[in-house]
Amino acid sequence: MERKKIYAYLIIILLWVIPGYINGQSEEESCSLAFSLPEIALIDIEPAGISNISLTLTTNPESGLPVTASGAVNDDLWINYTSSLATGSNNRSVTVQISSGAIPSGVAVTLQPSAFSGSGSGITGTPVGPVSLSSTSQTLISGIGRCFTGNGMNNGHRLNYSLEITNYNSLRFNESSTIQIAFTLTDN
Amino acid sequence: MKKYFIYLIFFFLITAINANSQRIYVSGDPTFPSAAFDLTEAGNNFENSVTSSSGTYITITHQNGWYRLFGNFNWRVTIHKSDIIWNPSLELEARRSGNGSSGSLFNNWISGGTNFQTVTNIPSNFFEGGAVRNDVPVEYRINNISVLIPADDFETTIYYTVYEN
Repeated sequence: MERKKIYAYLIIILLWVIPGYINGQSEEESCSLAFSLPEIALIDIEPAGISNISLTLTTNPESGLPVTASGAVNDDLWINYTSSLATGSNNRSVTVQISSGAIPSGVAVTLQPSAFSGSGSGITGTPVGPVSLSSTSQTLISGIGRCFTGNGMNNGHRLNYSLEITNYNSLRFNESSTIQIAFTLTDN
Repeated sequence: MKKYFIYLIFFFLITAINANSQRIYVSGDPTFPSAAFDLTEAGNNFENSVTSSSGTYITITHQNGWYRLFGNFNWRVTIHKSDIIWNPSLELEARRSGNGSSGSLFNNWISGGTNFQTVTNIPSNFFEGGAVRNDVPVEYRINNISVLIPADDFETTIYYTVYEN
């Protein structure tokens, strides 16, 4: 009889104690969240839609003095780019080349990009130096990592174009030419 | 008589064990608008933040039918994540964007979690309530998205844990 009472008390105690332990019980469920940040290489010339410029040699009103190229400069245009790279990817460069048309004989078109300025951030590129434009692709800006320049004028690199007389003998009166210049953001 | 008493004891014992077993169910994996990770204009960065276009739904219930019916249990839900591929610059936030629906006769309440809160790898309280609660919608937001973060396919597992309150 005494043993049964002990069992009964034991069960009652268990009824009190077990829920107390189970109060701390928890259950876990999960879901998966995934998204991708892609590699991106975008480049354009600003201001958009009016990226044509004109460079003209200046005639001298005084006889005996040469035609000059001192006024044949333009810095109206800016180059913008966005570059996103995966881990371990090489930096990028901007290359430039004449994609159509030919520069008139006796002159050269030189392009010098300014250092980066603007609202962007990241590892922007470094101008390589003045480039004399030709139909051969040349590096204009190098060392572009993960970055964005900001959009529009006054962001990125200002493009400083200038015309130079390379051979006076080859100049032709009233000669003009339209050339198209292609910029490429390329993987190194 | 003695036999019935023993049966009764076992019934209460099993009931007591089951009585405190809340259940949580999570349905749906969050998705984000694909346009948020696509740039078209050179010079721009990604939008800093993107909010999920579809989230997840959480249901809290009880293993015991009496508890489900009368709702005499309270609970709290914690949230944390476990990264598979993640970048420390990225910040994940979650918020309860609705109340879901009640599923018991009594004690139907839900509170907290309606403001975006950062989800880290350490559990933190998300929201709490009482009784059965069905399909509580959860919305997610990712902050600090940038082209400066190495391009990759990011993935993390979000864990919800229910505790008795």
